[in-house]
Amino acid sequence: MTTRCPHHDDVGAWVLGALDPADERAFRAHLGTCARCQADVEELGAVADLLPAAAPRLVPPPHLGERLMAVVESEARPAPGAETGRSAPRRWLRIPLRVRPLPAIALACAVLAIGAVTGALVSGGDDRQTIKGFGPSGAQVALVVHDDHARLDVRDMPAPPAGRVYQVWLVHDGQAPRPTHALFTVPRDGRAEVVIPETLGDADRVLVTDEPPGGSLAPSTSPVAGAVLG
Amino acid sequence: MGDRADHHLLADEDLMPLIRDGDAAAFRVLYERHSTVAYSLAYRMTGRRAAAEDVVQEAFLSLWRSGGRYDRTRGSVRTWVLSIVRNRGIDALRRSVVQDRRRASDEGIEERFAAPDRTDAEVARRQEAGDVRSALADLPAEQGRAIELAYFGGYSHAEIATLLGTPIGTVKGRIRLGLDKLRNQLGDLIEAPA
Repeated sequence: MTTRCPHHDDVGAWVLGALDPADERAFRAHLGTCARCQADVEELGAVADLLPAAAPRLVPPPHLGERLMAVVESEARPAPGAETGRSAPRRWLRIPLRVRPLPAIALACAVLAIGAVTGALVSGGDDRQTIKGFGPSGAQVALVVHDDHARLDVRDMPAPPAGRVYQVWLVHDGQAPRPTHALFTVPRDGRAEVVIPETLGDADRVLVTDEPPGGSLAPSTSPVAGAVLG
Repeated sequence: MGDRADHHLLADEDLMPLIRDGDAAAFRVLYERHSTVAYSLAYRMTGRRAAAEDVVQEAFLSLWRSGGRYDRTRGSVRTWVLSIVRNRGIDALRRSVVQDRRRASDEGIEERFAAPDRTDAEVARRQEAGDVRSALADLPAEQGRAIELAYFGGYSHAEIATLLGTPIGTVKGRIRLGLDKLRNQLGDLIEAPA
């Protein structure tokens, strides 16, 4: 008769994620050294994976999927071969765009109010440039420019307000900002890499505002982040 | 539509690389396949439609944004999706008053929104669900209760001990015994390791 492992009874609570933190730490440490418990975790973990089936089956409401897909499609990358968002309109463009223009002059003033707008060139080489941008306190914003295209990289960026998404704009010499198809939100870790599908053209700065889920034709709020092209 | 039709032919595991690359159509197919079981689990945990919707939305957005973290050697996509839903469900229970109210579920929702069977796979899932429910119901009551409180209620073993007025060690033992019995009864349904 084999001796039972002293942690035998911990396995069940472990696979259900029900051990208290202290017991969880102790069992985790033990697990690395006990082949019997490793095998039990494998077997009982597979049983735990069946438990969701015991929940009564319910159909999620259609609006849940619609809400989810609106966010997903705003963050989706263009299909390979798609020229730009303008020549290959994406699904979310069917969502009516709200037009609540913010005068270009106000936008420019808001940019100045944020400060730290100097387009510092952080790195270059192999015709790819990384420009340090600006953003909310504590956030890091960088614009990676390659040929006539750019990608916005943000770190420690707060999420947009509830029910809003961030939208990227291209600005040329104080003219009205051009909307882009780059709509995005930021996950909990505050990181996002946002490819701007439009070419930069003559833009001399890139700005980010928060907008309704389908995006806007003109900024409706002051910019929260951006970068100045060299 | 052509793309979507193509995506429907792909296995979950083959959709994941597309989702990782930002393919919204692939994500939509995955959502369509697993949203019912995900919503069912979330509702079973929270007992409220709005809370269940929030849990499912958070879980699928997390999946969308971290598709690269899926590891096929650790189980099926369905299992992975449901583990995310459950973790989000536990977060929701712990951060809100839902936990205090979840037993008073939205009245009649089970009847009004019960999912119909449309495909052979769904019929098989319903059969599987019936087997799991029967196996749970056949457990000694104290074992089934401990497992349900831990899995669907998100309670720790110490919290269950307090709720049931039993020693902590007893709760661990009941969970272990109950899972052992489920394994013996449901062996045919258990996923083979990848």
